[in-house]
Amino acid sequence: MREFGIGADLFAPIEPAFRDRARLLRALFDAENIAIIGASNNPRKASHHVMRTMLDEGFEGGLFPVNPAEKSVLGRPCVGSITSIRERLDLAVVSIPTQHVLPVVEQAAARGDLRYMVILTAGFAETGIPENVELERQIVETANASGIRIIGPNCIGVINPRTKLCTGFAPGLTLVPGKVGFITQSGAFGGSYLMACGSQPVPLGFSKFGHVGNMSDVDVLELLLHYSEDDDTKAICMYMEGVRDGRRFLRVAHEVTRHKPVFALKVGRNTLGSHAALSHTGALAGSNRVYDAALRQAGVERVFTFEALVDACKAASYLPPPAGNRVCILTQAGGPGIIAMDEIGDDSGLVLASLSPETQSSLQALLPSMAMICKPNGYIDMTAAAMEEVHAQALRIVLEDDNVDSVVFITLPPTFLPAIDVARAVAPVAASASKPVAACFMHGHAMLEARTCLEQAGVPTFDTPDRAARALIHFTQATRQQSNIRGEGLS
Amino acid sequence: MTHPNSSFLLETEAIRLVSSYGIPYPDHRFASSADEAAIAADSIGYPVVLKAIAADVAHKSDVGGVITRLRDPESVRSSFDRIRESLGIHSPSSPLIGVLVCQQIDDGVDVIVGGLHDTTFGPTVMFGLGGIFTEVLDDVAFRVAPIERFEAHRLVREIKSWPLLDGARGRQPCEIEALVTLIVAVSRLMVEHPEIESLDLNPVRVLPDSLLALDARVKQRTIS
Repeated sequence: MREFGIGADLFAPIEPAFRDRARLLRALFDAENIAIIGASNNPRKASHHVMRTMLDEGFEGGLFPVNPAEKSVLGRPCVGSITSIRERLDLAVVSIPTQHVLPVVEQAAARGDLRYMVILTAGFAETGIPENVELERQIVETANASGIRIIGPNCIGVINPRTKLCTGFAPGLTLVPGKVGFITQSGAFGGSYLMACGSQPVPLGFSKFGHVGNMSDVDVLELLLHYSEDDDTKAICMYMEGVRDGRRFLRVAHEVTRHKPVFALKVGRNTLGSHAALSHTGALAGSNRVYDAALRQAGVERVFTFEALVDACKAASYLPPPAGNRVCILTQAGGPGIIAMDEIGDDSGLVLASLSPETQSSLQALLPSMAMICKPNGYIDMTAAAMEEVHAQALRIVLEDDNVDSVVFITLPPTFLPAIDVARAVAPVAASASKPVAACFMHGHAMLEARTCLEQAGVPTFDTPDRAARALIHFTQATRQQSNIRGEGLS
Repeated sequence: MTHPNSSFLLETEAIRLVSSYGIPYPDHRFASSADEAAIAADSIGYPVVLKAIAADVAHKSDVGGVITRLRDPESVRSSFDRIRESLGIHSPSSPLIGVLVCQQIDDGVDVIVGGLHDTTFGPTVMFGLGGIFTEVLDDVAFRVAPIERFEAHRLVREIKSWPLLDGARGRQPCEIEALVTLIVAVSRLMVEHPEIESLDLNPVRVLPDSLLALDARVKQRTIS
C-alpha cells in the first residue's frame, strides 16, 4: 500500500527542481520552430488540422511537416524524417501510429536541440495493456535522457493564443488572446469549452490551454504551477477528473491560489469512495467529500456545471475582484430579479448589501413611483417604466454606496425601449466601476447587439439572471479563498 | 489483547490510543468477571455503563453489548452475565473478553469526530453532529489532515447543523474551543498513524463546559 509523504506541514514549500521545470514550460508555449510528424493533406487526419489551424491563425514561427508519403503539406515542403530538418527545432508534434512513436522519439533525441514533444497518438498506458504501458515508459525514458520533455501521449497538447501555437485539433477553434489559463483532463471537454468561450457575444479569449493526456511526464500540477507564474494568465480554470497524489495537488494548488484565483469543475460527485459502507461514518464518506475538502483547503473554488465554469472565467476575465461579499441586485423586472435572489440564497457566501439611507433617497428621487426600492434592502426593482438614463443613473448610485461590493444588473428592455440604447447608457458606468458588475439582458438573439456592445466596453453579460448571480458568487468565493490562503482573515 | 484476525482495535486499546493524544474519556476500568465489574463500578461511582470487550464486535449495541444507567453492584453483576449470554447468542465466534465499566455521562449535544485514510489524499479528519444529523442527513464535513485550529474552526462551522452547536433554539452554546482542540488532535493522530483506516469517536458528548469521547472505534488497514 502506498504511503504518503506525511509531515506536520501539509503545505511544505514546493521543491526548487519542480518549480524550475514548471517555469521552463515557457519554452514550450513560446516554441518558434515546430515539426509536425505525421503531417497530412488528408483533412480526416488530426495532424492535418494541427497544421491547418496554425497556418489559418497566422502562426509566425516555422512549421516543418514530416511524412515520408508526402512531398508537401498545405503548401509547405515536407521531409521524410525529422533528421532531415536543418533548422533548430523547439517542439515536435507527433501524430503517427502507436508502434512508430518510439523510433521517432529516438531520432528526435539524436538531434540534440529539441526540448519538448507533444504526442497526440493514443494507445499507450491508458489501455492498461502491459506492452503499451512499457512502450510509454521507454518513450519517456529515451526522451528525458536527451533533455526532451513529453506532453501526452493521448492528448491534444497546448495552445498559446498570443503566438497562435496550437497542437490541438478541435474544429472551429478561434485563438483569441485572453486572461484565463485552462487545464483539462479531458481533451473533448477542453475543445468544447474553448468553443463555448468562442461563442460568447464577444469571444472570450484565453491565455493558455493545456491537455496533457496520460501525464507520462509533464502533468497537470506542473501546468498549474506554470500558469501561476505566466504573465498572460490572470485566473485559472480546470476540468478535473482526479489526481494521483492528492497531497501534492493540495500543496501546489495552495501555492498557486496565493497568486491567482483558480476555479475547478471536479467531476465524479456521486461516486462514493472505496471506504463506503465499512462503518457508519465510512458509509457517509467517499472521496468526493474529501476532494471537496481538499479544494477548499487549497483555496480552489469548486464549480459544478459546464456553464458555471465558463461564466466564472468570464467574470474573472472581465471584472475587478470584489472587495467583499455584499451584492446589490438591480433589476428592471420582478421575476428575473427574484431568480437572481434565489441564487444568492442563504448559503452561497454572498449576502444582500444594506444600502445607506442616502442611497435609498437618491433612488427614490430617481426611479419611477411604482419602483420597489430596497424591499428587501439590497434589492431594487426599477420596473419597466425605467428608461435608459434611469438604468445608468441607478447603477451609478448603487455603485457609489460603500456598502455595496458587487452588482447583478438585470434588464428586459420592453418594445418601446431599444436594448442597444440601454446598453450604450449603462456600459460606461459599469465599465469604469472599481466594483464588479455582472449584467444580464434578457433574452436570446434580440439582445445580442446590446450584449456585444457591453462586452466590447468590458462588461461581461450572462444568459440568465441566475447565471449572472452564480458567476459573481464563484468569483467572490474564489477571491475570498485567496484572502484566506494569504492569511488575510477569517471567512 | 488484539485478536489475531481482527482489524478493529479492542475498545480498551482504542481508548489508550486516543488518550495518548489528550482526548478526554470518562472514568473507566476493565473487568473480566462480574465481581471485578462490581468492584470497578464501586470505585468509579454510580451510575455506570457496561460495554462488551470482544474482538470483531464493531457495533456493540447491536449484539446486546452495552447496558447503561446501572445504579448498584447487583445490577452491574447481573448485567455482566447478560452481556456474556447475549454475545454467546449473537456473536458466538467472538467470546467476551471482559467489559469496560464506564462512568455514566449526563445528556448533552452529541457530535461525531472521525478520521478516514483516503486513497488519494491520505489521512483526513471528519466532523458532524451525532444521531440523525450524520446518519440520515449526511451533514458531515472533511478536511485533509493535519489541520490547525483556524481550519478546525472553519470545519465545525461548515456543517448545516452548526447553529444547534452555537446556541440556536434556546440551547446552551457548546464548548467550541475544546471541540476544536479535539479535532486538531484527531487530525494529528490520523497523520501519525497511517496504519489506521478509520477512526470514529461516536459520540463525543459536548457539555456546557467540557466534552468527552464516549466511544472509540479504530479500524486498521488490512496489510496484505
